[in-house]
This record gives sequence, structure tokens and C-alpha cells, in this order.
Amino acid sequence: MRLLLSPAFFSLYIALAIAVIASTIFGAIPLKLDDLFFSLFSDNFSNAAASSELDIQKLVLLELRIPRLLLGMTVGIALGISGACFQALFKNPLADPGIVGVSAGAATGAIAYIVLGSKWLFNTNLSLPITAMLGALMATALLFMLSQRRIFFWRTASNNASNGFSSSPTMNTATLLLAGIAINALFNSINGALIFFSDEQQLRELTFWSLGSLTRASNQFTLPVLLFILFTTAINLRYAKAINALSLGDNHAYFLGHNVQRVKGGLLVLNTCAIGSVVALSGIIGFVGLVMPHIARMLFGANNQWVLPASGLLGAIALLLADIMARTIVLPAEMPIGVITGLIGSPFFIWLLIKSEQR
Amino acid sequence: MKNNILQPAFMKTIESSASLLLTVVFIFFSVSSFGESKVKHFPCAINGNSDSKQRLISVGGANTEILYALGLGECIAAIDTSSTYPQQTKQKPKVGYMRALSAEPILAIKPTLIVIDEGAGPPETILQLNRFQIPMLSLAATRDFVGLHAAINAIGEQTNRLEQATQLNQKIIQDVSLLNRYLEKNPSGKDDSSPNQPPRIAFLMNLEAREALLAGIHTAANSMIQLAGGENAVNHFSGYKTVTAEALAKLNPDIIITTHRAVESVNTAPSNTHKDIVRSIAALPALKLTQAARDQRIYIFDTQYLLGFGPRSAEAALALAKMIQP
Repeated sequence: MRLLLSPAFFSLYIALAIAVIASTIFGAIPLKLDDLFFSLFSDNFSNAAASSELDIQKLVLLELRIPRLLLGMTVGIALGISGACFQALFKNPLADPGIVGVSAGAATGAIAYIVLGSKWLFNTNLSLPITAMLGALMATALLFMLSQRRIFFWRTASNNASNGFSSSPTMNTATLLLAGIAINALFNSINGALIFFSDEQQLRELTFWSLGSLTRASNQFTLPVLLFILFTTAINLRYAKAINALSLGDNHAYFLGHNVQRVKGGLLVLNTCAIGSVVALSGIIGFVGLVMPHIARMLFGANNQWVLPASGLLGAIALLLADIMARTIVLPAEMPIGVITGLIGSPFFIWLLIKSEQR
Repeated sequence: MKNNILQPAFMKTIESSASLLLTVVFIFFSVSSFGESKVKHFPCAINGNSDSKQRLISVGGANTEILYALGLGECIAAIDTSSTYPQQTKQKPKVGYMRALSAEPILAIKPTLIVIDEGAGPPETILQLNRFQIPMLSLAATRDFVGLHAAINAIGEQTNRLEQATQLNQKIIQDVSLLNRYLEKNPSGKDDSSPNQPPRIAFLMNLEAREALLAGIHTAANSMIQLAGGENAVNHFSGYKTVTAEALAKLNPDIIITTHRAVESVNTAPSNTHKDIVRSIAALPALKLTQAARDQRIYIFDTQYLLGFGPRSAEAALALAKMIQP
């Protein structure tokens, strides 16, 4: 935790502060922050009458900008940290939740809830994030089994686990990407089937998940997820050393005194749930989870005690900046934020691929 | 940290974080340069009119058509992407796809009224707009003339154009009576052997073999086919469903109606004459086995004209009736 206060992190904090201020100021309606700042604390403010100019500005700030800011930070932190954790746990620099199919699984969970579940399942604020989590967990379970070279009891390759804990051969990049393609294809086709059976009203809701957006920000959905993400972040940071050890290999981690299966399984489940819950709020936003850990490593080296928090902060910064672009460049319409992150992220992805080829 | 502060690795960290910071600042200022300026001016000047202060946002193709027909085109500050008629809509600012609206840009326009299709969304955006107390006229997409008249009246009332609304309604009533007279004069029997059997018509939204989209009951296409004196070949499902070539062959419609958009996506030679286009469509694998393809009875319409259910719908139904029963 002391690391978070070290001077090297200050630039990240300043960048985040700038991003926060920028996403508060910029938007279709120009806000006069100085006037607002004083009026927020001076007079009584009621939601009902949006008569004067200042009242409208206040409403814009409180009802639109701040919920969106919170959602953007929540999603960014979750994608950044979970992306970094995935890369460490799968010992693979390309293990991004979007690429390996976890996000698609989450979307399947959410879509299944809308099409099938909302009629006869529990119906609360949290049921959508929870079904999305379940979908994401299914995808991760599949990926994990593939990386362990066995699916349930069927061993796809000889597994020389003999010493009580699974030896977990590292999955090479090509296999991981192929597994990702397979999992993405599987869940996308389930999505296709669900969409085929949905009625028009449901279809309208579904169009939202394919390309992410922060338009649907509302605090009553964001806050519980934000709490969960903060919890996940704390756990991830607490186990950063263990993640370091795990990225050396399970054997090394075991001999360094870590309970490999528990730590690994727990972190995988937790981070997958984090991804699932933010996908339920914002839809699939690609490449943030892939790119941010890499930038974090460029800045701070490979130590996950640094990479994890830095990646989370960078994720929040990136998402806020991407959202500013998404909602200002095509005014008065709005670009899906997934388009922006994709346009910036995919060249980076290609560069990574070329770099890993050269090695 | 103190003992490694002079190490090159740490200096590199400081350096690269500084460059990151610079990037963020750069993006900050580049974003600040665009954005605000684009929203400010939406002209609304009905010259010399007292209510020239109206600033309307129209979401939904039919709503936009009605507003234009009431002479309010100048007052429309922004429309959605489904509003494609009349031609002037091309110059209007777009607030995006009607199911993916965003509240803030709409608020920035400071509309005096939003005429919005009931299906627009997402629901969060609509809730946010309500919280800002933006006057909103929400109209369900209609599939008959009763609903259309009601919509025109509602829009006319909210925009102070009651007189024009009445005139528009009368014009539609005239068009409908023209249509009915035509149908009376030309009872749409399939042929001389079965005079009471109307031709079975299929409406295809998409012609590609993999995803031919067929209109079932409870669709605008179904209503138009019935208005024009035909019978929808589909009566076993509602909404739009993809069908295979085989299913279409089994359905065997006498007439196929499709849209310009669908034809464009399968027709590679745009310079063809209308007859060539019909012939090439009739040869498509998805359609080849139907009676309609054999008789070359394939008619192509503009989507908004045929299915929009706006001021031109009676006219469109008459055009369709004339094709069904020339």
C-alpha cells in the first residue's frame, strides 16, 4: 500500500485528476465550473425545478456527468486491474478478457437474463450484473480448463501433475488466441440464438451490448458494482506478491509458500466476476484490459505490486478520455466507446503480436 | 525508495510518466477545441411568424415526415438516423440511432419539444430527459390510418399547427378514398378462375440467401399489403424472421415486394434498367423457385415510403395496389 503513495505514482494521479476534470467539463453542454462550484454549496438545490440556466447546469453535472464519470472510472479500473491479473495468471501478455472470450461470456449472461430470465427469475438491480458474472465465469472455466490441458475428465494432453497440485503448463500465445477464438465463437453463437428468439422490445435492449457505451450510467446500478470493484482491487493488491510468484510458475509459487490452487482459483473467480459486473453496466469495451497492463509495465517494470495499481489507474484514465471523445466528436450523436478503444487499441494489439513474433 | 532514486531505471520511470502526463494534457486540449462549437447554432426561422422560437427534435421517420408536412421543417433542430424523408433531412444534425440516444447532446439543443417514437431508447436516456422536464411527445409507431390521424393531430396540437394538421388529415382521407375507389374498380382477384382470392404477397426486407428477412403478421408491411388489397403470404409468425430459400419456395408467393436498400446489397451493376434488375433478383437462389420469380412479379419500394406509416402511406398503398392489380 505504501507503493501507492510513492512519487512515481504521482504523475498517474495527476493524469487521472486531469481526466476527471476534463470529463466533467467537456460535453455537449458547456459547464461553467466556477459558478457551479459555489452554487452547489450555497443554496438549497431541488431536482424539481430546472428553470434557470444554473439549475440546468447543476442537473447536468449531478444527473449526467458525475454518474458517467463514476461508471467510467469503475469500468476502467476493473478492466485495467483484471486485465493485468489475467495476463499474470495465464502467464501470457495477450490474455485480455475481451480477446479470450470472458467479456463475450458476460454479455451472453446478460442477454440470457434479458431474453429468458426477466420473466421468471429474481428481478432486482443486481440480477443483471450477477447473470453477467455467471456467464463470464463459464467462459473463464472453459479457458482455464483449456489452459490446464483437460476438459472435465478428458485430458487433451499428457499432464504430468504428480506432486499434489496441478503443474499448469503455460499456454503458448497461439493456443491461447485460438482458445479465445473458440470461446468467443461459442458465446457469440449463443448470443445469436438468444437474439433470434427475442421479441422486438428485448431486441432493442440487446443492441447495446455488442459495442460498449457509458450512456446508461445511473448511480443506483453503478454504486454496488463500484463497491465490488474496490473490493476486488484491494484483494488483487493484497495478493500482488503471490501473483508475482505465480507468474514464475506454479511450482515456484508453491515453494515460496503460497497456496497455489486457492490463490489462483480465488483470483481468477474474483477478477472474472469483476469483468462480468462491468460488462453488465457498460457492454463490451475492448482492448483496455489488454493495453493498460502493457503501458504499466513500460512505466514501472514487471513487478505486479506496481503493475496492478498502475494498470487500474491507467484504465480509468484511458476510459475517461475515450468517453470524452466518444461523446464529443460526432455531436449531437454519440459514438459507441468500444469503437474508440478499438480504433486506438487494435494497432497496439498488432504491434504486440509483431513484437512477440520477433522474440 | 530513497536509495534507488538515482538509479537509471527509476529516472526512466519518471521520464516516461512525464511523457504520459504530457499525452493526457495534449488530449485534454485537443478535445477542448472541438465539441462545444458544433452544437450552438440550429437555425429556426419561419420568417415573420410569431412562434419562430420552436426548436424541435424529431425521432422516428414518420414523425419527421409529419413535421415537414405541417411546414415545420425549418424548426427542426435535429433528427435521428431513421428520418430519411424528405431530402432536406440530409442537412439536419443527427442525434444518432433512435435506440441509442444520449441525453446530453439533446439537452444542449434546448428543444422546445421532442417528438419521439415510443420505441426510442435506451430507457435510461428517456428517464434522464424526463428528469430535465423536456417537453416530450411520445407516439407509438402506428400501422393504421386511425393511429396516423391521431399522431398528426397530437403533433399539430403541440406545435400550434392545428389548421395544417386538419388539412393534412383531409388530404390523407382523400388519398384513402382514392385507394378505396381503385380497389373497388379493380377487385384484386388472382386470376379469372378465382376472382375472390387475392394474390399472396411476401415482403422481403433482405434478399441475401443466408438472411432473407420475411415480414410476418403484426408488421407495417403486413398492414400495407392488406391495405393494397393483397394477402400476406405469411400468417404463421409475427414480426420479421429469416427464412431459407426452401421455406420461401414452399411459401410460394405470387408477388414479392422488397426495398431499394435490399436490392442495392445484392445487385452489383447499378446501371441496369429496372427490368434487368427485376430479372437478376428473380434469378437469386433465395427467390428462384417462387411463382413471383417465374412471373417476374417483383416490386421494389423505398423502405420509408412503403413502411414508414406517415403522410405518404395512403399514396404508397395506392401505388402498391396498382402494381398488384394493374
